[in-house]
Amino acid sequence: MRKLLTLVVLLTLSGTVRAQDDAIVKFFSKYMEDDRFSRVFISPKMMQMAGGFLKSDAATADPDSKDLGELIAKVRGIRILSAEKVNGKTFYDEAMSTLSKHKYEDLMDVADKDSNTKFMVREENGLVEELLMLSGTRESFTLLSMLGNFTYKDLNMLADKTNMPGMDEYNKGKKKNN
Amino acid sequence: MKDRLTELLDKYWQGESSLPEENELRILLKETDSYPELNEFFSGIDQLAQMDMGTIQPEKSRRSVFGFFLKIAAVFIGLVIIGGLIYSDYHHRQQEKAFLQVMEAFALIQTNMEKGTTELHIMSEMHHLNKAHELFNRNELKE
Repeated sequence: MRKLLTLVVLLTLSGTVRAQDDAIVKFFSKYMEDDRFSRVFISPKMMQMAGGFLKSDAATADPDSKDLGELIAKVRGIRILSAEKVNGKTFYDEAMSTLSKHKYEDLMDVADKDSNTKFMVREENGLVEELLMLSGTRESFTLLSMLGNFTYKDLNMLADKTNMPGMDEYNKGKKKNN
Repeated sequence: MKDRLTELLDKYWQGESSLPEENELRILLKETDSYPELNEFFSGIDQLAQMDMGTIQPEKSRRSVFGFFLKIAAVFIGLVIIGGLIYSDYHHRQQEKAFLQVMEAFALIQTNMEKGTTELHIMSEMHHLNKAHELFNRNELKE
């Protein structure tokens, strides 16, 4: 009887987590066909390939690339939904109302009169299962969901290290594009 | 018959015999017992000629077949190597593309996290509030 009850509780919990995922998927799918939005989905396979590139690139054989490689190995996938030239605050509020906040804990909330940026995490067994980032300004909106099994130390590394291998190249490219 | 045989033999040894004459010579030698060594010599030549026919020709054809397959194998190996190199290059490019996309996502997280952390830098200025107190304590200790 006790085993049956445990099973029912586990099934209910997994159902709740799936419902959470569904909420994000629902939000994603709602704006999937909207031309104002650009969508990026980095699959686990692509994460593997990115890790493979880091390993194969002999030029980046330093401790930073090792840390980055470890972080990449822990990430299962990344979904990004972003839009420029839209009222991001409206979408921010809509996304916040779609997400039930029981499963997400606030990590960082930066708000001023022009913008709102929120980082939230979904934890399981002491590990971060998902990092959710929502950002809405008067001109843009970004939703990012990073799935995986990582620690706060990994997140700290991600926030601190601006000299990560490939980041320079990315930033240079970004400047050129601008 | 013997005179004809002697005449043909003379011609043969002088190298003046024609092929029909040599055939006639062989037939005549088989019919007589006068020249047993020559008889054996001609029969030996016949055997050698037959052996040559039997051995050289098939070897020639086998070699040409082997050479043909060798060429096909060389072309196949060449194609496999070129294909492998092209695939390896393509795979590396795909890996690089995936890596840059991941870095782009990480940069997005980092940029937004910086918004919060730069605000927190103000907190680091708070330690200046303690300066006066520190100085006061130091003066007190000197007294």
